Amino acid sequence: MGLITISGMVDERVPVTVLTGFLGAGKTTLLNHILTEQHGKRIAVIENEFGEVGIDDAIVLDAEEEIFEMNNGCICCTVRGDLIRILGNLMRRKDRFDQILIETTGLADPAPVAQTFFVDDEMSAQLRLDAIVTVVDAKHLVPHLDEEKPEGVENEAVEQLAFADRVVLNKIDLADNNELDEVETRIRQINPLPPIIRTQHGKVDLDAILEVGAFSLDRVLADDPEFLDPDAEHQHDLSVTSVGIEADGDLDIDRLNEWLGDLLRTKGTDIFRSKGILSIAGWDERYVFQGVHMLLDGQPQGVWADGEERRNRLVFIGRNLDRESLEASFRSCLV
Amino acid sequence: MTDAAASPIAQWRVDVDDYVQVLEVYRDQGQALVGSLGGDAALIDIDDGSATALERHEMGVLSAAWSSDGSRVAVGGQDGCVRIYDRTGAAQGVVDTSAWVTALAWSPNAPVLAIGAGRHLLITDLDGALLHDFDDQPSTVTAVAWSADGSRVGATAYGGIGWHDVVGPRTGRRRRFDWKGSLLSLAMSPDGAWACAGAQDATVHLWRLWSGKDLSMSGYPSKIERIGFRHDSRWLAVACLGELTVWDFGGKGPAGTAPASASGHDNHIEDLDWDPSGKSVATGGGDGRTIVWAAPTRAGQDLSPVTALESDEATSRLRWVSEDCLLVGRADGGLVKLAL
Repeated sequence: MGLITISGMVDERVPVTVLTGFLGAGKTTLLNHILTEQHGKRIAVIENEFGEVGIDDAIVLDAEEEIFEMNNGCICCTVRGDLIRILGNLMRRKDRFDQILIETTGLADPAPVAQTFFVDDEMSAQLRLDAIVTVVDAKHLVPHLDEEKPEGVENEAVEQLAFADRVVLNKIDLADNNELDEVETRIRQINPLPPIIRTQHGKVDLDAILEVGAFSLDRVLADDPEFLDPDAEHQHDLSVTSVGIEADGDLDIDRLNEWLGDLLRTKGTDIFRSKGILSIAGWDERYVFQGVHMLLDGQPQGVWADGEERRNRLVFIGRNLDRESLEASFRSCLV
Repeated sequence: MTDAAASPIAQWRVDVDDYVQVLEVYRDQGQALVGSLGGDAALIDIDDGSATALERHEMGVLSAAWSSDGSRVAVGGQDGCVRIYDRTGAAQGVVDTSAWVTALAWSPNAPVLAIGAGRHLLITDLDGALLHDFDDQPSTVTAVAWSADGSRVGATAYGGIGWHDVVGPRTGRRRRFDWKGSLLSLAMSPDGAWACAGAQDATVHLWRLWSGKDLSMSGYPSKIERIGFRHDSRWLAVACLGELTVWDFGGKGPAGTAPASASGHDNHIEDLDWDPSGKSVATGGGDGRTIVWAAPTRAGQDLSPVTALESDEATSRLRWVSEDCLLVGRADGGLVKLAL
């Protein structure tokens, strides 16, 4: 993975925020809110469906989704050819942009969008994926999640939540408190990590969704996310869910490498996102990693304090994950 | 538009409004077509640098090509327009497509233009009248090229090269060279034997043109966007990141051979071009260097630079005018004529 996170260096790459969510959830409203609040900044917007972007300052480009499989032996490694083309030309121009916003269609798979920024050298050298922001409609999310799909067809509403770094729970004025709590519970069952921001009319505090550095390893530690889902016991029948693991002790680096490598090779298609903070035997620093499908980025970071309990914490979000087997195989890497 | 010489060997400098994305020369009549990602397009008299401004293409010029007899030049852009001019810059025709015009190529022996725009491969006459629309390309067309005899047009996209008969009774007939990957560039060997494509998956894929037999050159560290054959079809130059490799197509072809290679750029090579005599190949990089390399004489050779020029501004495009004269386009919109 191409993240450049050398400590102390300023990352000058242009941040990219991806807005996903179903048609009608309020993506375009949120986009217009961002553009209004961010006036004065040079923003490029890439749209995959006709929206009503009404701001003159921003440059707006239309893209038609083209997903390319990469011929690198990794079946889950896909990129968006249309984005490489559009952003490649955009970044060559003299105009410098402060920010790039990509609004995907309601049916888009977020994985190829995210992987584009790690797999293509030209993209990863100049652009930094900041976060995937998923907009959901408080009243209509649950029916979308419950929609029965034919065998082999993805439920995009579920996938968009599984990939989310931030969830904007929009239109809360249309639902009562019980409904809102239920929606949040359902979101947490799929993905326990993202902060959920309740809002109406897309009016979100922008600090909550922009410049959040969701793919930065520095931020994995700083954000200290909740990896363990308290309701883990009660979700056996969910096809997309998270598996959080906590374990005290040190890991054998060779066994860990073999386990992670094997896991991503064989289950990479089903594992959408992963994050972890690990304790390696003989290392003074934590090992921090995060991944999208098979693409994994990790580095040593942050010295364990004297007397601090060296606890491993990691989470996988994906499809058909076997909690017992994942936890058992992870524990076999402990010294 | 013309400036004082910026360096001792620069004979003139012309400026367009942004990154020089397109630079195509027609040597026999001493003309160049320059286009920028800002939208400027101009015809340049290579002798004195005088410029004739052409219609702008908003959001950028993406492609241009001279007809084989030099009587026409076609310019395409992100605005979906192809504009055709005669050699004086007088407008001769316009083709409106609804997509980015990423590729243009004139037939080597007929007054016919091939246009790659979105998922369409369009064929027009000398002045842009539509002759054929192959409207079912599998994905966005990235490059187009004609077979040496002018009978077929190849269009690269994700999934391979589609070949389209455009002349005679079999017009419309197709043939495909499949490759499960995104092809970004296309070069035909001038002798008509090979079709070569650079790919997103860091390979160069080669097909024997008439048998369709194929092979792949892998081991590259990144995607391949710039490739080019020498005029005699003996060598294929491939740029990848800062390195130039040159494959030997003599004898039985490059299978099983090691390429000649050259390292002298600290940043991506943005363009390459063989000089008309075939004695050297020039590369221009994002590091501002323009390097002229002696052509290889055998496979596996380390190439050495003949001339290296430094600039503060990244080179974006370069084209030879003659054995000792280069046009170099830059990221800041400058175009200079360099005498070597």
